[in-house]
Amino acid sequence: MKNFIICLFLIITSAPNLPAQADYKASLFGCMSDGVTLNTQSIQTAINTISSRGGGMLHFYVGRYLTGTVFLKDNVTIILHEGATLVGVPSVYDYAGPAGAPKGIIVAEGQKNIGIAGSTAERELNTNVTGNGIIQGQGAKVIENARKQIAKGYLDESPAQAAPALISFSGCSGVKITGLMLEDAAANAVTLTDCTDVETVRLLINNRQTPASAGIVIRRCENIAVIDNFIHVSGRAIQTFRSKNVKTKNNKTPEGKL
Amino acid sequence: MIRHIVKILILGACLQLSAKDYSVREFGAVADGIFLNTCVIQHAIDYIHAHGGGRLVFYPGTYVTGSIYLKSNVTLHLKQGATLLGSTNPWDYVKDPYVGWKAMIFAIKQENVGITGKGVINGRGFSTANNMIKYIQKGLYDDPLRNDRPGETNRPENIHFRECTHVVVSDVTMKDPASWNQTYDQCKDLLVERISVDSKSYWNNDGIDIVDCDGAVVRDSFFDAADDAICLKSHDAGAICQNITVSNCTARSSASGLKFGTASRGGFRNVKVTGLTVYDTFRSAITFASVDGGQIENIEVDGVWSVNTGNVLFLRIGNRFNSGKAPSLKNVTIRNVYAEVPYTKPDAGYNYEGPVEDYPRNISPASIVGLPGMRIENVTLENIEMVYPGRGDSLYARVGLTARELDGIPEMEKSYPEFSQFRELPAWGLYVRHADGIRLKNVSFRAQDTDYRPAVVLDDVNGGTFAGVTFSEPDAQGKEQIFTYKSANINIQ
Repeated sequence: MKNFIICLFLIITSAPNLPAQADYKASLFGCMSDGVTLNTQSIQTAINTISSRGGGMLHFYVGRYLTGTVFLKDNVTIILHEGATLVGVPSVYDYAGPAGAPKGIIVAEGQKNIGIAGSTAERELNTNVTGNGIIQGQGAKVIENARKQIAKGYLDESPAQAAPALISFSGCSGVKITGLMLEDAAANAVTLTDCTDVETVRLLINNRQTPASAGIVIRRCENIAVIDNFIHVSGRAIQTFRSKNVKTKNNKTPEGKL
Repeated sequence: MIRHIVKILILGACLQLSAKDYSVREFGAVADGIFLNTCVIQHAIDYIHAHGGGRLVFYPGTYVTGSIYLKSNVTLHLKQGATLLGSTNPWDYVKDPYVGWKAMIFAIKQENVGITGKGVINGRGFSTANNMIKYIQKGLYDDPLRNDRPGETNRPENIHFRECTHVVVSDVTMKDPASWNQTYDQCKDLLVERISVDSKSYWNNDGIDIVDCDGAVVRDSFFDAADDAICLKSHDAGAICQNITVSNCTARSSASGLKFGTASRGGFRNVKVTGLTVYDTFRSAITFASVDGGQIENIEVDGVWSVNTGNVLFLRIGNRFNSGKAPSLKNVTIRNVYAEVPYTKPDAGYNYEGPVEDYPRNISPASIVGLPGMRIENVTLENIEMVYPGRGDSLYARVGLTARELDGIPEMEKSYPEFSQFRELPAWGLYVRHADGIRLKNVSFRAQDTDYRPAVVLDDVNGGTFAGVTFSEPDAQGKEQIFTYKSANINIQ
């Protein structure tokens, strides 16, 4: 009996430190859904706060949330409910990326257990709904702005370097990108660099504003699941480079099944 | 010879041209009063800094921004009609880890930086500060909410420059910061001229704070502030605020017009103030306070016009946090002053009026108050006319001239220094305590109504000269207007 109690104690105390799935509404941090207010620092503050409190979900409800680059942190999932759109700001100087990886609107570098989802997990499980929330890159505007700045000599980057993806994760593990509409990136829609254990599921990717833009780019990654996506892009739907165990299943393009 | 001069002129012209102008709109800034330009402006500053320096020009329009960092050889030039408008979102401001403050425009360890032009810097601090309160109340930002407001380092100033050399701030209008308006801390060679400041959108809003600077000129400027208007501070016991001139400036404040302190750790040395106008000011036209172990010496004030101001002059040694150093205050000359003190509240009707406190007391006199063993030395008051309302009512508040009453005035060495801190004082014009070498020459004290107190009380003063000192008070013929107590070597001519 004594041993049993000790075992029980050990089990309880050694259980993996599961993230608290606390829910936070974006308005708590002052995010504005008017499509005009630039929310970068409000969203960043939200992510930092949630991560520092052990993790949870940051919920965006219907509306347009203008933003530049935000960095996802450990144990934070962004939930975009139906009609919620994260809109990329046209100004090229509002974007950054992980070191050695493309810039992005949603960026993460070396983080664990992160996600962006178009609906809550329960709803996904029950209804298999796709494409609730949207990330809208306004890629044509960003690229136009970048080209102008480069032509004037004010921006010392190539258009490709300056252009943000919608999602750029580097060195992350335990990533879920699910149930989203991903639209009009200035570059590729999703880029994963040096990541492990990633699910990209039920995405509707419409990325044709800039030429030769891919849907999902997987570079030096391991254990990647790409499932049930519809990908309509100007470049390649899915590109993999030097990656291991990339599982693709039931993905479609306008031309048919991949 | 003429050829040489022409060459020099051409060379000079070329040097002028090398400071190139760049329009911030060329970098993609949007002047619609909505778009947040933080990243665009920062990139433009970085670019100019990396390409030989120049001016970043803001043409007419309204440019919203959060925190930006000015870099060496870059001047922000705001054309008339251009406004840098602070974001009202507290998250858009950085709390700089080195200086520990939030601000819209930072410059830290840079040289040849400036903000020029007839445009406006508007912090919109009332909204930003109150937005911050909401986040603190929600537990999203850590602040004790002392006095139910965020600490001043958790609200953005308009400008915070630290350890910069060759700084020019000219012609701009600054308004509505959420905290102090503009701080220059440990800067060298600072010129502030022709600026206009409207800083009463929130608590603690100073007009200008010059902290531990060496070599500063402030001139031809206007300051209207909720807290001190023109304020010299010393935050660092190992530094000192020195070689400062303030000329031809106007101050309006719900605290003091011209103030040294309250933070006074290192001290203030070689300061000359000329042509100062103070009006509608709640506390003192002039306060010099050494309360944190600082040395104040060689201070000259020449030419003050002070009307509707709660007090004329307050010189004070206190002993709050002295870190082992004895505070000092000596060699102060104040001359050519006209001052009127009203019976009513001088800042009534302004935003963030000063707090009514330290009552009951009748109208407070100018005061020079040291501590036992920490004496104020060598103060000269010359060519001064001070007009007081009188009306001191001994039934309302009374400190008479008995030893018990005079000794009963508290020393208050640990207290925040304020002219009103002692409550009722026994004089209506000037009260001096624990001081050596007080010289009054050609000083006129006028009370507009009778007062139960004499004009001047000297308590524990060693060495005093009164030459050409006159008094006028209705119905007070034969009243002794100078009362000395525990004092020696007082020469009344």
